[in-house]
Amino acid sequence: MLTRAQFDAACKALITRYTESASDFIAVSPLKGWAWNEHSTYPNFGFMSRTVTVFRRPDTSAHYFDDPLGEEVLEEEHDATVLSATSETESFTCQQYVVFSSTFRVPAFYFLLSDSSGSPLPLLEVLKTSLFKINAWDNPEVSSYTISLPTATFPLLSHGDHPTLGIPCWYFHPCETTAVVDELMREVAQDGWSEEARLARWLEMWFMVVCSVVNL
Amino acid sequence: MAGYATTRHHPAQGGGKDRITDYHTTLFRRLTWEGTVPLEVRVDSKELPANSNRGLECYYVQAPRVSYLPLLMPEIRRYLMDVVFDEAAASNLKEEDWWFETEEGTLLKWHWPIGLIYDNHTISVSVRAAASHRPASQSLPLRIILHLVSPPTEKLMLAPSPEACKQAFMGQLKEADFIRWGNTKRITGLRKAEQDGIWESIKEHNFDEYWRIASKVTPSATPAPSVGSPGNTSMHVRPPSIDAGGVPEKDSAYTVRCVPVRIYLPDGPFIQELVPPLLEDGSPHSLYHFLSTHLPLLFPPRPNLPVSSRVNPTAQTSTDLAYALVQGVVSPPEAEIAWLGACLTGADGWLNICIGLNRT
Repeated sequence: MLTRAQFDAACKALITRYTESASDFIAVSPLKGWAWNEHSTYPNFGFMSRTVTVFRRPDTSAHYFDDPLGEEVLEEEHDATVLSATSETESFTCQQYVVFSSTFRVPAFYFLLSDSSGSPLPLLEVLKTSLFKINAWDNPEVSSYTISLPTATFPLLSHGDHPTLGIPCWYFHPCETTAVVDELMREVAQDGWSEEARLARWLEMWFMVVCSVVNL
Repeated sequence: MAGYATTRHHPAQGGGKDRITDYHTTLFRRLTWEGTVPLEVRVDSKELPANSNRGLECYYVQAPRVSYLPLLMPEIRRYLMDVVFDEAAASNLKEEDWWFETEEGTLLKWHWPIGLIYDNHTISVSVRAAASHRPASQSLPLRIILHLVSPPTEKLMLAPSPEACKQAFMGQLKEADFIRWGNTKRITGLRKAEQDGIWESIKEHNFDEYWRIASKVTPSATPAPSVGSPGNTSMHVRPPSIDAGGVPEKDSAYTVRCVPVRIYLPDGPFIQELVPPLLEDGSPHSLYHFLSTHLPLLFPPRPNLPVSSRVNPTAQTSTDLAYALVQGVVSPPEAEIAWLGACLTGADGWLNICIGLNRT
């Protein structure tokens, strides 16, 4: 778990580390392209944001989500390089946010996907984009407003207001994050890390966990 | 197993199999549950279909604070079909296109409890209309514009359906559970029928059914025996309902890890911090202490509250810049967060505190 101050420090350390080493500003890595934002009036509402382009998967494949209407939703094997090279593929703007979850005291990944007219994509359309990895979950239950696993307490993905901006977003539920990231940290921890280095590493590990289901 | 029996005898009889809820706790929970707010729902005049019965396009309702806009939609729809629209227009009515905003053009969040929408509007008005006294606006209906077409999807994302609302509600309930106990075992320990029953009880506005289930996950307002023991100087400011201990320590609002609280600021984001029920010295965490910690400019730290404030609990000094609304009630500064969290929470388990500005 992190405190709000540790979250702020971790985000700023990560931004510094990856901005300096980035040769361009295109968000080609999960860790690049992030910017720090504050609320216009109130302190302690800072978050990271970036904008990337994602694509609709071509209808070629082999993986199915259960559609609540009983239709099968096609999902194909994902290859990011092929997709981004296909100029014909429909593209969408993906606003991504890393915010601090006040309830679970960890970062949480929020996002919005919109088409060229600015309209947000419905959840079933969101799942057909290159943002999502194929086979990210076994037998997810998908509705128009949530993705759940039968055994989980919280939905994996649901809608909620951005804690700073107040706008509706999709977000991955952060409740299982701490245990997973802490376990990873035990593997990589090194003596002599500064607090800043430890926090930045913690956030890198968190991104690794998030990247098990999405392509950042 | 755990019925929602009540008793006028306190301390509460906590040792038995069934959890007995004391009289005062039940009283405040019922007052909260029965609380309603006046709404005027007006169809946007530009969207009224031809041949509508103009002049009748307003629907007035005293809506339960614990309810949600999507749950009002069926009765609004019935009214529009019976009274306002002709048959052709009625058959074209599509609820999935409906959306709500205030007269001032603020999009209403359909997944917020109606009481929170109302209080949040009250505090927004308190900033803009500094000239009026704060109780004045509270007796007026909240004027809501109902739009029938063209939802602003970029701001709304999802249509206000009861199913999406239920999912959002259950998410809030589980988060509150996590904040209180550090896990969600109480909620997940409920049978599926009970989890569904909580939502059904809100739809049907059934107090007994709601609390029959919710009392299994909500802490008791009665302090654990170790809290409020002789010598605890804070005892004299505690409400009479909880003057003595009697419930198992694990069920007391004074022994939870934290109280699920959100502070809503006028036109701002909400503040959510960890709020333990007791301070480090063991005394109960008061509302004023909490507010002065997080909003010291509006609630400047004070020396210890005078005992006399107990005699007149609503006493506020004329220099107070701001006030705190809980369930539409201006709350006394010495109210204990733990008690508020057991008695005045919304149905979703959260204690919502709306901060309004006084006339200066």
